[in-house]
Amino acid sequence: MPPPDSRFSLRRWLLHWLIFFGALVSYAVLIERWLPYPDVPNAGEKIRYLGLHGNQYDTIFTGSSRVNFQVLPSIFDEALAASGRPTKSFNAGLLGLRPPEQGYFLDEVLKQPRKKLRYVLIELTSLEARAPASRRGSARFMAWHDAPRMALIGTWLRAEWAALAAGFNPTDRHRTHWTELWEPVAVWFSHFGPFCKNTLNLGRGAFLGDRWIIAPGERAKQLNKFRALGEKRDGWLPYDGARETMNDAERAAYLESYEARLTTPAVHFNDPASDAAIEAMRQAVLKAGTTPIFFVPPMTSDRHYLPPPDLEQHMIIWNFSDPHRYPQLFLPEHRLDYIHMNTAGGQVFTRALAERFAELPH
Amino acid sequence: MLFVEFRFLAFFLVVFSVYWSLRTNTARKWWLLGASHFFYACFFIGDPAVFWDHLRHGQWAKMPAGWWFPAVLWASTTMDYIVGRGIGGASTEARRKAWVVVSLAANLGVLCFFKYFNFFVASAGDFLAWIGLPASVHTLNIILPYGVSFYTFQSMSYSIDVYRKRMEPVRRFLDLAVFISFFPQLVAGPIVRAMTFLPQVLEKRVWASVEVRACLTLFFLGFVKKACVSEFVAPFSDQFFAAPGDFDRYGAIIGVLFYAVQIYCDFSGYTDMAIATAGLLGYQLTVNFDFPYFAKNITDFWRRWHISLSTWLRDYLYISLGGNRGSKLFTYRNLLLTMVLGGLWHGASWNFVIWGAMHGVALIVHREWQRLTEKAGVWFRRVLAVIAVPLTFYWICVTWIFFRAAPIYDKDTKALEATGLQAALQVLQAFTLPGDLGKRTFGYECLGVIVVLAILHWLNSRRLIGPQWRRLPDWACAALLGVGTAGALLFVPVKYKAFIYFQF
Repeated sequence: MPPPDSRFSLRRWLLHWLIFFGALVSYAVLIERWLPYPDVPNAGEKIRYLGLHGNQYDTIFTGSSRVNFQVLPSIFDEALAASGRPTKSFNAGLLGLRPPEQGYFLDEVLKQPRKKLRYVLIELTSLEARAPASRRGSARFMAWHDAPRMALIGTWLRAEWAALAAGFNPTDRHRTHWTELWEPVAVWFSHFGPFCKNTLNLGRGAFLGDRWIIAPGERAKQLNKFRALGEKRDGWLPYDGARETMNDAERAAYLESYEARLTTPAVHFNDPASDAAIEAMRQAVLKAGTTPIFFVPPMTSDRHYLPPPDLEQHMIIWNFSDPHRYPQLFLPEHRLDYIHMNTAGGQVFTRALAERFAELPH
Repeated sequence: MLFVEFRFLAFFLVVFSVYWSLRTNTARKWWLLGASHFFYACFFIGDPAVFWDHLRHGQWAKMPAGWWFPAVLWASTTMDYIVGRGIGGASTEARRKAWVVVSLAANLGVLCFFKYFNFFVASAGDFLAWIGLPASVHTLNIILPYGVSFYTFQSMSYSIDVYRKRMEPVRRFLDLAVFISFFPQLVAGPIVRAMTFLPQVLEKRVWASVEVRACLTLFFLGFVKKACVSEFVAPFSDQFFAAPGDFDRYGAIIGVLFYAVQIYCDFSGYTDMAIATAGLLGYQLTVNFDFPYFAKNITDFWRRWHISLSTWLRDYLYISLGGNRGSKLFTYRNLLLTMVLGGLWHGASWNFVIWGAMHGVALIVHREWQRLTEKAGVWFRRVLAVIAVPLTFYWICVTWIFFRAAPIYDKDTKALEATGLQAALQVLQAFTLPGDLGKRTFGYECLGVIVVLAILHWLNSRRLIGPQWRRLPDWACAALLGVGTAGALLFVPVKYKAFIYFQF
């Protein structure tokens, strides 16, 4: 630090830096309220579309690719209309959308106009703290790093450490080692950077430049394209464009996982961070005056996340991942792999969802 | 490592803290020298662990391009140190002159080789082909060391000033090395004179003389200019210059005006941050910009734009060529030559030569104009005063077209559609002549951006903001800077472009 000479006062110096950072963070938090959701493909379009037309929907689906590509609102509405319970639904699923981001995106969806909204159907998945490198640094990845979501990452870190601490032994090579203890901290730091950037709204005003670079007439046309919403503008897109079937190797791998699931039921694992994320989403939906419904899409994965019994008893949960109860959802001709379905499979799955939905009391 | 990046802040915090905690000036200078080389190395070293591994095992082929850049810097410094000592110890004028010639030849040789070798060889080849002679041209794969244009000019200023007996040669190599490699001005100026900087190096800096608030404010302003304004407008001008024929007249005007904004904010922003950074370490750098777009004429412009370069060219080139100590034609020749060489200093391309020549011609025309209107009436002068600034700015924008224009390639086939000069002429047509070349345009908000920037710039030039700012108490400044930073960060791009002047 600078030498304590005639003009230097450490106390004043620190006080001024404190004022600077206080003003910086306070103002950043204040202006964040007026900033739109980032103009990222798919996610940004869905939020913007709901901002314009949100009032017409009474049912919204949210979740990962298993929602985005497998839930067809047109079929859902058609099936329910046929059963005498007309709905108008919207698919707000996004590729790779899992907690904590799922909770953030849900909050954004609920901020949009929603006069008629009554049900929010949420895919049940576990919290993903170790984000793939391809996603880190993207505008969408940055956007969800707010304080509540960082608290969830903190919960995840504590749970990881608790599990690692139980097996910690620096001398035994077969048990937890120092390096393993560091790994969750490194993961936490990989979120802390985006959190700081997001809190300070780094680059969030760039959307103005992106819009002004286009002439007003052309801009209106582009903003109205809503490519990510599909042909019917209901948020559904077919999986991976044209890919609709499995090749021989994929089919063999799928059938192997399917056989295993038939004989061995899925393991439900405990995860305090995922529990907290699910509970936060449930509370957000309830606070919005709507009903949360959680569902597990059909998968042959051997590990399933389900909330603990004390939480589960307050929730509506539909588990479609049971090949004995929903065999048609696991037919190879309906599948793309052990976690995804093709368009035909998506139609079957959507009808199954509609059937369960029709059972709900009016 | 750019001034606007977070890692620079971390780097500077360490440099600043250690620097002021060191007691002796020598220790501080060694620290600055080390920090400057670390800063320089960050531009080309890549992953330090990988770099060290390659270095340890002598795997030269795998080393990052430009790992030898510091060697050029050291060679230049060492040579000028020896020249300085040589001039100082020379007993006759002839020997003194011989020493300074060695310095000029070596420094200009380095500059010519790294910057202009391929340009001259390729141009010679083109010329031979044009006159129909068979030409086999061999260019070399030369990469330009960062900051070479800046530090060779600084080095030369030292040798020339010692030769002109304006200063004593330095005794210690360390002092000269700190002067030439001082990191705030190493890669993109301002070009600091030995006469102004070396006395500061020799004397221990005192914390009490550091104007912390002024420096932090200047750094913030520089940050806003570069990170917010320059980076915000860059995509507009990039799109326009990539396909000028696609845009209507409004789009062309915005494209060119935004480039004028971009280059000013980029370079003056960098300079502000460099001056502020040096100021926080107790050093004063040369002022480089003085609201150049409010210049009343082209001569005035060159008193306000890149002042450190223009005064360098005036003192070491124009005056050496004879300046205005001769006939009118002789003076104009010197003016034109100085500006053409000044243009060429910016880069090895005919674009820059034309840009320099346009300024040279404009300076000559302005001198003639001044002579012709010497006895003009009051009304004429009043009218002139009104149109002088916009007219000068318009001409500056026209010259920027040649400065910026790059070859245009077909988007799909990547085939060359137009050379840099053809592209410049296309831009010039879109910017200056009535009618639309294409249908593409930009949003009308862009005009609003220009108006807001012009008003802010004008208020600042009229000293309407600075005095109010200085009257505020420190805590209020801290709070306002915090609020301002929060606003500025909104427009910061997540990934930055390098400063435009780094390429020179």
